[in-house]
Amino acid sequence: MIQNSSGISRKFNIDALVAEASAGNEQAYARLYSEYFPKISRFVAYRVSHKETAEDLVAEIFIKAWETLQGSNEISSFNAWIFTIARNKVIDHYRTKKEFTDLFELENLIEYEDGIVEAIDLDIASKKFLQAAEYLAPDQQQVVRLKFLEDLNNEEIAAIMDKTPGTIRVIQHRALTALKKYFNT
Amino acid sequence: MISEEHILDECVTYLKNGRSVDFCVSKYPKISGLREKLVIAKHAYQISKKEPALNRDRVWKNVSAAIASFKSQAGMLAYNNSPFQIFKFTFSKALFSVVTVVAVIGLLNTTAVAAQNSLPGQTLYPVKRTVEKIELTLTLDQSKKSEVRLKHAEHRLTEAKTIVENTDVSENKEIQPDTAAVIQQALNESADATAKVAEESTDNKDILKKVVELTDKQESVLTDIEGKVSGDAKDAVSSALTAVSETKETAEKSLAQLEQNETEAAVTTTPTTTPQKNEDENSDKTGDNPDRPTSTDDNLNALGDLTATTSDEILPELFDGSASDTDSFSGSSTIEIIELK
Repeated sequence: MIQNSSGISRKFNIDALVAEASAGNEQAYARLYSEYFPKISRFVAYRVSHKETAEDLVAEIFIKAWETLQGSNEISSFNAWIFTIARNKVIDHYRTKKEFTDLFELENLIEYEDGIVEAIDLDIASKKFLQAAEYLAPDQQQVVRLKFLEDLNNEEIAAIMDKTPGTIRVIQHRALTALKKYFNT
Repeated sequence: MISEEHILDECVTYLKNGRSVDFCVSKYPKISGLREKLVIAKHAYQISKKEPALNRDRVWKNVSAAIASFKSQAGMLAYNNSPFQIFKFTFSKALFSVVTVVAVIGLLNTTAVAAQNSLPGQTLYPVKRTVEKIELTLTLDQSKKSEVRLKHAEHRLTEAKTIVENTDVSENKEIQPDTAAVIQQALNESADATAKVAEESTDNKDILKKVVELTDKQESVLTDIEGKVSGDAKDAVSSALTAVSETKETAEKSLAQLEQNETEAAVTTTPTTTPQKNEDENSDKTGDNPDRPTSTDDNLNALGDLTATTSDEILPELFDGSASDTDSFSGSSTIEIIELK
């Protein structure tokens, strides 16, 4: 959540919409959908290259979110919650396609099935940055990608990586420190 | 005391909101290495990325249809909880019935369109099956009911085919047993429904033609799958192929019989021996009217251009595609609902 006045009022709006949607108000849910569709669709589309499959998955995420909202008393953070659903849906999608033997391999599905970067538009500096990022530890790479390439906030990244926002801040700091060291050597 | 992680995070957020690196560094001048890290962060934000082109409206249509389905199942009418809505719900049972029927009919169209591409295991699939059941219940005419059953049987076939197409069978891999079970279930439902319709429609030429068409498609899909499975799954597919072939053969025979019956009926209804004529015919025994037909072959010739006299000659015409009617069996999303009286 952005800590300024417009950010605070935005959060109150989201909370109000969530409360109304929980009571069965479809119009309120439609506004939530408009708010979250860009990020959720980006998250899914970067991981599921087939367009129709990605659209179906996004629909399933919002349907699941609606279904669960109806039975819930209070959602403390809709942001984190819907990204948890998104993460689980993507993982389930991959589970139906392939077999996995360990959780680490499965969690690395938060990698990309298709490149999200426009390779032809990359300048030299951007290419160097992406090369440097490959030397980061896996969790640092994930945070860098989710934060800077997918434009998600700490709460959303925490839901996807199943960590706390505080841990995400720590990983971000380590990642940027490591990148600074890489470019200075 | 704020940690360096917090400060860095705060500054990254400033960058995202359009602030400069200098702004952040001036706010926290004593943090070592802050400038370099923020330059890297700013650069990362500026890397151009592909924007995925998912269809927002199409996705919302699916979501909205599913919501409508949930609400219909939950029996929710008064979304606003207004006293007026509660009054209507409590005291207007007739209005409630009409609204429910209209809502269900409307729901069939939107939800069917939204859920029609869903596959077993997906969220919308139960919605799809529920809509099919409702469609069948609301179809009163028996012939139309058979058409609807065949349409649903084709849905099962399409589902099985889609699952097979979506399954990775590269590098000589076979379809996994659990996936094969889902495919087999869909194919069995398709074959069983088709066989039942064929049994019940031995006197309906149009339905029998559709049965033959569908069994052709079933054979094609089953043959494709047979090469991709092994063991028990392969045996199951082979049995299904045999059953489908039998259904097809039965339908073809029934169709041929119907055609033959029609031809014979057309011949016997030709007025060649009216009571008056019968009297005359009796008098013909003496040979007074040599031009009057007196045998079946003579009757056929009397009709003029009729050249096909046996079912063997009639059958090829039926299966050359010219007589088939595919337009009403295209699996479109439009649902035919018989008018309720």
